[in-house]
Amino acid sequence: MKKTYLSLAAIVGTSFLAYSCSCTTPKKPVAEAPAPVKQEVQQQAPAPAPAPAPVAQPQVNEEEVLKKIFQRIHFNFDKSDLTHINKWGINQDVPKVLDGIADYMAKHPNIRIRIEGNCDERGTEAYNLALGQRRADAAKNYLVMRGISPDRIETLSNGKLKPVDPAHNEYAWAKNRNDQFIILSK
Amino acid sequence: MKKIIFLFFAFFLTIGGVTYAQNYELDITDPNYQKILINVYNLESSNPELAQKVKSVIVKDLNMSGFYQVNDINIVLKNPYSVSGCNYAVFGSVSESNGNVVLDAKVYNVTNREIVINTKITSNNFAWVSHKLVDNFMLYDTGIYGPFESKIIFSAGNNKIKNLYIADFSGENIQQITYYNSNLLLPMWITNNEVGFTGYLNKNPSVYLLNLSNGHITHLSPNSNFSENVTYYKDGLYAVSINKDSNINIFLVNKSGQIVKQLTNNHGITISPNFTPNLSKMIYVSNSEGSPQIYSLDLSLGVSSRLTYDCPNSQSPAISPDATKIAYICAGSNFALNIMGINGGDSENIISSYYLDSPSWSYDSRYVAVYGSIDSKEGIYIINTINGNFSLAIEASKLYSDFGGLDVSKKIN
Repeated sequence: MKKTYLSLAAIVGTSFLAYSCSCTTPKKPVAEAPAPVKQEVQQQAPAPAPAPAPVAQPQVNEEEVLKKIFQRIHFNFDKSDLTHINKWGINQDVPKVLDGIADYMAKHPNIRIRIEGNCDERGTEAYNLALGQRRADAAKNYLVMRGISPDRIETLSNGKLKPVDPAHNEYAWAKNRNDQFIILSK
Repeated sequence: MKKIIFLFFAFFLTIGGVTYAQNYELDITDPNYQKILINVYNLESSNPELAQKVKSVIVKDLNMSGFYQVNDINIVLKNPYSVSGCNYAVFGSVSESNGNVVLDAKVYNVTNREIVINTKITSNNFAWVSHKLVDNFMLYDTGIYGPFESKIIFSAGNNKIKNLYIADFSGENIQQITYYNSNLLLPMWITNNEVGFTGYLNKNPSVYLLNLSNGHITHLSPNSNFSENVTYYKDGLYAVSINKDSNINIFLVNKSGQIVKQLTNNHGITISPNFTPNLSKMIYVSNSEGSPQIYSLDLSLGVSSRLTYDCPNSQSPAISPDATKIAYICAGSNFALNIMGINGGDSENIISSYYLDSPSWSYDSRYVAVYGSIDSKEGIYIINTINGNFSLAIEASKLYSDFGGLDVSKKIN
């Protein structure tokens, strides 16, 4: 019976250890391309064998990965605070997204970005232009605080000129209050 | 019992629906306000097409003033003393001389049975003779010269490109003045020959001056990644909202774009500087206390005071030329044009609608031009702040479906 308990404890302990490791060990950036495989050409081969059918290899879609990391972050109405948003169809831990961006930029020192601040339509042209700039600056300052050089980050306010959703309701407005991250160079 | 519950809900929904509908109903005109009746007759002319154009602008201006109800009479008036059933009769003739339009106009006061205006107006523009006649008539009738001899500069285009246009106050003579593949927003008259605007000409929004005579453009804040809202102060200095250390404040800059003085030092957003005509005060918007509100800065004492408390999002203040009132926008899910006293207080709602922006006063301090959407029609509106009458001066069209700011000039001689 004791043996059974010990075995059970060992299994649980190992699983826990494995889980802990998976949480703390820095993940290999998914966006990194796999090492190129050299194809040796058999020049001495007497006769070329029929070309083998291409083997489908799991390809990491870098664009998709970058899109996920550099996803738009969202804001509350008339705010530029970086906080957890859970309203009107948006559920996003904004600082966590920015942490992901900071981590990626730290690992890829050549990447340069532009943060574009956007607003919903419920404000005047002048106020929304300023609010868009504040939102872009808020994200930039967070990344700089996380160790990213300010020289690698441009900011731009679009005010309310570039809505994601042109509808006139709370759900559209929530989507339109965002910072968009544009990768300028990799 | 089920029936009673159903009826109760039906009643509740009906009342709720009516209440909701009432919130969105436009009810701004004083129902007790009696408009003055004016008959406008055909103008005699050897060029009937020109005469019709001059007459149509007279009719449009009089209607737009909000004080008059115009009967457009399709005959030439020979004997004014035969007119009855109205307060005034406008008649006369139109001719052309050396490329100018000459309006020989008379206004007959039907009640007093006398000709009260007998004038000859000459201009190289047909609309301008009409504007001058209506402005002179308003001086006679109301004691204050009319607002129609001014120009509106406005930003218009689509959601990707907006350029600058100039039009008469009542919407005639629309003329495109810039042709950029970019967004040019928030235009402001500096002089009759110079305008300022906020544009994306160098990637980021930044303020520029445009000389209307030679088309020369001056970049006023080249050292910041964000600036907007240029307004002339004095002595070659301009007030501009500039982003510095992630806070947007109001600075005085010279024409070379150098900062001469910082006027506000707030956390957050501080924009939309407006000076009283005697330059004793600057009215502006700041969200330093959480939400955007309107403040007044005493420029000699350097002391600021908050003016708005009733609206959670008060923006775009505009001081009337007589320095007694401030028009501003109460923004949110619905927009309202409000007017308050120059020191705050006595805030009055003039009109509410789906969207309103960029209020700007006419030189007679009675009218406000705004752009927005009223009764589902997008365009630039002229609003009589005395009785709430509103008229569409420039309607959104295929050429310009979106607007991005406007400003009304002083009287142009």
